[in-house]
Amino acid sequence: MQEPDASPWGLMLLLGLLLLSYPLMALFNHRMPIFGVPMILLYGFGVWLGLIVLSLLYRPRE
Amino acid sequence: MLIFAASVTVFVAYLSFLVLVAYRVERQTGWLATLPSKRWVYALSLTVFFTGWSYFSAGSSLLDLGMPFVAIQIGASLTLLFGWPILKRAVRIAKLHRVTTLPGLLSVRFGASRMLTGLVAVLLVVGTLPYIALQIGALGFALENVVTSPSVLELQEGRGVVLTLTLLLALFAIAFGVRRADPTHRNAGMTVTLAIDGLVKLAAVIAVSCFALWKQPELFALLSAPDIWPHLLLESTPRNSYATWLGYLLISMGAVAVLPHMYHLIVVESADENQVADVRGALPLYGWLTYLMVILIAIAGLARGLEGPQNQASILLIPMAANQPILELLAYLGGVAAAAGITIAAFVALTNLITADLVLPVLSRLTTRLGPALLPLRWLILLAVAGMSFGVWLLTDVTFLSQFGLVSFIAAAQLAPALFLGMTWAKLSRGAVLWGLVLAVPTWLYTALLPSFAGKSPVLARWVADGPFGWSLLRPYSLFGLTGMDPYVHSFFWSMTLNLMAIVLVSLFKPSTRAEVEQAEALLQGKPTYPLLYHRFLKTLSYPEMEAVLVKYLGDEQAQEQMERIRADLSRMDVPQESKLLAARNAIQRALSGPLGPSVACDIVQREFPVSESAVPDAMEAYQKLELMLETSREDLASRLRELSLLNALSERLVVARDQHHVLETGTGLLWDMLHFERVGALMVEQGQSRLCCLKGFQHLTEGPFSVPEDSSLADALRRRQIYVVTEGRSQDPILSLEGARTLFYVPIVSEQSSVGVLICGMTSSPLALSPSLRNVLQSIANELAISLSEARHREKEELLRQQLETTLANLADGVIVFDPQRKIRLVNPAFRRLAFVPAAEDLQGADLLTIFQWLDPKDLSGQRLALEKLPSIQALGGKTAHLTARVGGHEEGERILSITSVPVLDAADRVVQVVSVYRDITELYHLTEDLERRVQDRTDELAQERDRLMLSNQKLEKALEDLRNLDQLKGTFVNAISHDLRIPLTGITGYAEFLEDEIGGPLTEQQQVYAREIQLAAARMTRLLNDLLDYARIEAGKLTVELRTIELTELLRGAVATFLPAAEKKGLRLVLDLQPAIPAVWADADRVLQIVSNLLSNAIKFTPAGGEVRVRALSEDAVVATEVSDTGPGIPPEVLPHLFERFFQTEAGIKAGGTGLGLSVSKSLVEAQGGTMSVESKPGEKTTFRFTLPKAVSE
Repeated sequence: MQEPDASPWGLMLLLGLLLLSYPLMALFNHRMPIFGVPMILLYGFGVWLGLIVLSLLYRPRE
Repeated sequence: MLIFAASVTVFVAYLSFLVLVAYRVERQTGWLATLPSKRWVYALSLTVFFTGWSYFSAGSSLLDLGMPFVAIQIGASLTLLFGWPILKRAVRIAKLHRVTTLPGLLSVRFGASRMLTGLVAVLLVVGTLPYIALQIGALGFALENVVTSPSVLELQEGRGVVLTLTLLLALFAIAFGVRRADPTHRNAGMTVTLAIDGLVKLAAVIAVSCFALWKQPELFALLSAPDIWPHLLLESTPRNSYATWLGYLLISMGAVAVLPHMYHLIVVESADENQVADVRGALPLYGWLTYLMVILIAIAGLARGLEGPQNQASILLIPMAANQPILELLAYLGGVAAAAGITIAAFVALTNLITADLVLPVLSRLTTRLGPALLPLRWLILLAVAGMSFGVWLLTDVTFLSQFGLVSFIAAAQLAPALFLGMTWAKLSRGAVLWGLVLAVPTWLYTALLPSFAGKSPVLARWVADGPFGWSLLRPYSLFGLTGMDPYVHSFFWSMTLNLMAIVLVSLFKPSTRAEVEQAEALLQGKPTYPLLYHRFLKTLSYPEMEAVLVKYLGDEQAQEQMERIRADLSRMDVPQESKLLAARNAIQRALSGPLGPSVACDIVQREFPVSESAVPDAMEAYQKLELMLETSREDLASRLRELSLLNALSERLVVARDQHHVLETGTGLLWDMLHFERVGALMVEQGQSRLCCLKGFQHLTEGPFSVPEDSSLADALRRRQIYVVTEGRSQDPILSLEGARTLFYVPIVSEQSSVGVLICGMTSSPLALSPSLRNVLQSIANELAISLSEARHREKEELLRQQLETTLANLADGVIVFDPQRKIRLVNPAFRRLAFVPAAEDLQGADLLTIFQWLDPKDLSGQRLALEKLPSIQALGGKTAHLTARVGGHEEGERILSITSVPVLDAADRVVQVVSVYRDITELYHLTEDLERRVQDRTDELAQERDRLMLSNQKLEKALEDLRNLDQLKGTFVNAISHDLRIPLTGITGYAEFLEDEIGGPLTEQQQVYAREIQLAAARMTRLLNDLLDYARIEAGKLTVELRTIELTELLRGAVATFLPAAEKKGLRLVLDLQPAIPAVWADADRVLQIVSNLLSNAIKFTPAGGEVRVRALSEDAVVATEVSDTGPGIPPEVLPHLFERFFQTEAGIKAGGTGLGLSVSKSLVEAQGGTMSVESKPGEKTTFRFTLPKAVSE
């Protein structure tokens, strides 16, 4: 039975945690709106969506 | 606005709809039956994570807490998006071991431990029950907010309604989630209804948010208004900190897959482990979209003045305020769906958990007859769960319960290390996990659960505020003085820290045993695992024994089903008996694990198959043997696997190898690519000639003819047909020394008992020993190459033959057609088409033989059309060769005369498998033959006439010949008679002339003396003439006789010369006898020789003028002695020489001298009668030499 190599997924998880932690979060912790939406909200939802897309598009090499 | 009854009706109607759908899905009727197999359906079912309470309170919680609340959804997303490989492994192991709960999975992973299983189960039940109560509260909340009187639910009727709704949900869960005693079966109907719930709540959230945005487009602008959402930014309040954000993120990450309902959906309801990977993005996307919508709804509620608790109902109140009953109904349905979904799933999950991990372990000790009672027991437990959940809701309130969401999450998160580390780290021990939970669970109870009840008890409230007995360091919300944290994050921090710390410390100081690690590795890698033998020793198991145990605990029906599976599994196993026993035991445990849980299953197996203490040493010995055997077997298998992989790769490459060179190139390529030899090549032997080819890495050797030294290892490898190893310093090998290699292997390629080549492979960087494994590999490669080479040779020969045949047939003037017994044409050559007048466009391949007769139109030579059965092709089908000459064609293309021969091709059983017909055009030959026959006849007639004429002439000739013979005989007789008659008077004349000369009759005058001598001389000439005539007559009559004997030729010659010396001197000639020394004797007639010599001397003296010389020589030459008589006379003209020995031929000088013309002819005949030869040479004016030979006498 061929199991996937978990290491790239673990690295992506760490990347997600890094993006969603201090101090990176602090860089965007502003109410300043972009397209009418507060930057912190945009960043949080943007990173969230980005991670979803990353997970769905990533294809490990066979 | 909906009234209360209508709301209940809508709920019941919606639930009825779900029942109908679930029923049809379970019955597999209609298109609904296809839904469970759809990935998107399963993906939507996972959205129960977005619960009923989240549906209502997410907005207000967001506004209250700010961004950290979003972290709960993001954390869950991170686990599903990136933790799926671990979840996939967990699903695989759970399905393999038929466990349906997390405690069961941990029991499989860490070995059956009642304490671990029980602790985990209690933690999950205690942590989850308030969570379910909260969802029931959400139902009540929905009803409360859609009825006219907000206080209606405070009435007894309202609670009764909620109880009824809870019971309905419980019945639904029983009907579609706990239908069977075995919980490992998937519940397709329930999964589909959960997916519908997910769709409904998503539709409701989108519809209400879009409506709000449509009504109030400036909502986006309000998002950034500090007065609208003051706590948006992190660090805007003490709770709203980065620590809270990260804490919620981690809590959610750990809890999402561990919460009983989520674990149940991920593990039990998935089709297989791959579904976890397939749907990893579904819940995150769902959460992202719904939370975006929820924010808008919450802001819209705020804009309408809905603050605090009222904002929780924004999704209901916004359409209500806008008087949008349809939208209001949809929003209500969304809430109902969200609450119903999570409630049903949690009921089922908790029922499985309590049954397998709490109740059955106890019951199984009380009774063995569990099988028939299992299903009712599960129903009872589900109803109990529903009752307890309702009771918790009833005894508390929604506001109180709302804090339990995160409390449950923290409890569940404590199990995340056991799950995620356990599935990835084989060295994680049961003790480490147990100690982690032993520390974490009380901490969670103390810091999270206990303070939740502070509002219900003044004592607890004081405890929380001041710490137990006033010890501030032990305050639940600021344990050990840690203050300023969100209480949930605080609890998570302490419980998880202690949990992980215990895991690390125990793992360090009390690590797993080697056997435990190996078993864990086998489990994680998907290999079959066996219980550790030092715990128990197996007795021999039989199928009836196994079945009896299963029947006892599972009932007949389930037992039969499981036995079938066990029989199938065991029959497929090809392992030692010891392993089979272990596998049988495991199979029973797995069969029991499904319905009873792994802990109970383990207990039962131990109880049913007890072990005596005395058997333990034997078990240990058996285990060690087994371990050793498995280890050896593993190495053998790995080695064999490598070998097979190589051979497989070789076979795959050889498939495309068309010729011998390509085959060898493939073999050497494999040695180079996969065995990493640094020198590879091949020696090919064909028809006694060797040539090197396919060389790689060699620096000095070149491809081409190669003379193998007789005393080399390479020659030995070829001769003895076995692998030879030559190594640096130990072998004197020309290639080794030439290339500077450290090791060379010569691997003969043996085909049909003879070496057809040698594989050469070697190392230069380091020496390499020929291990048994490497020997096997090299030998196998050589064998494979030998087969392929043989096939390639045959292919090449066949190809050559085929090309030869095709070329021959194509260029053959004769037409050839081949057909099978079914008269289907298999082959025709171009000549046949031409001879048979077949159009070029006509495709004859596979056509019936009879089709060609339409063009052939065969007739016999007289022009009569031939019947089909007369044709050789048809007759040959009977198994005999047939021949016929026939006229064919006859239409505008003209007519041909063909010689048709058909030969059947027979198989071993003398059956006709094919017929080969040859059509030869003999038209021209036929016409030529006709013409020739006619001419032969004419000539025969002419010859007959000629013969008659010749016969007549012959008769005349014969008569003339007879006459001539008679005449000749007469002549001979005449000559004889004349000669005889003349000799007598001559004798008298000679005698009397001598008398006169001797003056016997008186003295004579000188003149008379002269006359007398003249008479003598004339008589002598006459005598010679007569002698010659007699000899001639004898020769002509064939009566010449010679008396051969040994004679001394020299003596004879001396006598002859002495006789003629006076005559020579008289004429003034010099007569010389020139004899070689030791002239041998000859085999001859002395008289005849003397006659010959006398004749020659007489002639020489006669024709040589005075002063000349006559010389007689005798020469010994090989087998003969030659005698030459030469003179210095005038010579003989060249034109005369050829006629000199003819009878009666005379030269002018001869005629003047009065010769007869017979002397030389007679002499030649005499020489030849004695076996010699005679010849003459003459140079006119100089010299004439007569030469004759006689055979030497044979010494006696």
